[in-house]
Amino acid sequence: MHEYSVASSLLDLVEEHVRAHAASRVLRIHVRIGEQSGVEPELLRSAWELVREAGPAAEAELELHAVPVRWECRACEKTLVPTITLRCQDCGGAAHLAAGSELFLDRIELEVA
Amino acid sequence: MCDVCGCGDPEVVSVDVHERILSQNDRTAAHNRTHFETRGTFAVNLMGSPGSGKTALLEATRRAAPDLHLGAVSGDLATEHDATRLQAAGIPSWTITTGTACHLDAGMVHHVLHGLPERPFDVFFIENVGNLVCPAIYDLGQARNVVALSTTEGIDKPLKYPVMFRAADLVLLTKSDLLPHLPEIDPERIREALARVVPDPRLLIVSARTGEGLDAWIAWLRGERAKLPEPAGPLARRAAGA
Repeated sequence: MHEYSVASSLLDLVEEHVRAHAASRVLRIHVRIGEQSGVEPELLRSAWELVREAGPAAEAELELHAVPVRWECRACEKTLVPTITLRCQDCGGAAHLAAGSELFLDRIELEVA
Repeated sequence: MCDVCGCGDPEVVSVDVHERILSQNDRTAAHNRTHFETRGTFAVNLMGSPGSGKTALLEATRRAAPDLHLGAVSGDLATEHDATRLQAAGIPSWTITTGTACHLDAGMVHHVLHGLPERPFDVFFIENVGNLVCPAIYDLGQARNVVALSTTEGIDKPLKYPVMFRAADLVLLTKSDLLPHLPEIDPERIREALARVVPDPRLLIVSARTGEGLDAWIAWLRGERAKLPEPAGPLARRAAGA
């Protein structure tokens, strides 16, 4: 399970911003997580409970925003419905994953004394 | 805090970050990539299930391409068996023992780079921990991802592990010598499963035992290596005799 490593990286990133803003407490963390990011939201949530421990992020709420998968044609940029191949039904171009692979820390809410 | 006006109340600040959670890993991976590219080394992140034949593939690669200067690092939870096998096959090898970690990350690979010999490798294999899930999301600084899928693993693995197969620049269907014993395994159906999750599926059928398909595999390695940016670093220039 790699969600523990991902949660540790998330904590590192959050703590960087805590230091930069001299914050006393983290209230909320907004994470954008694609359905094909390779990270399971519920496992990430459990891992977060383990890594946050004591410290300024100990009581932070983790808000996970799921991003659905969207394939787009690389050539004509149309949204594609996957069939037996990931090719554009109109122009035959190869698809690319336009959304759904994200694993982003979007925003944090900090309490600054 | 003041009871009259509330001065001294903590202020709530909303900070827009918009940063990849694995950004620290990405930065180390970029550093590793520069390390490889400036030496003209083509780095391959070789992934696949435990027992999919990754180490045997590298041993066979050594036999099939004696002119290529190969190096490897193997990641395993425990033991140095893979590196010992590769050393015996004539591939200078290192081990990353991950303990409980299910994947390699860029930091672990970076640690190994400092111990590599000065003469650059033509191709350096990073044999990842056997796992079709976790290694897929960690950039190590490789030039290409290759996934080894063995014929005994069934035809639907790409559908079950789409994130891993989407990351693959090339899929090697290994242990093709077993196909006569596996009438239910049709490589065409594996190719079809791959096409459902990957826009440009590339599948080569290989056998480390019989040598089937190794020519195409070696040709792919050489062709992709030729696409590397021109080596600019002092070591690569020294290697080129400049």
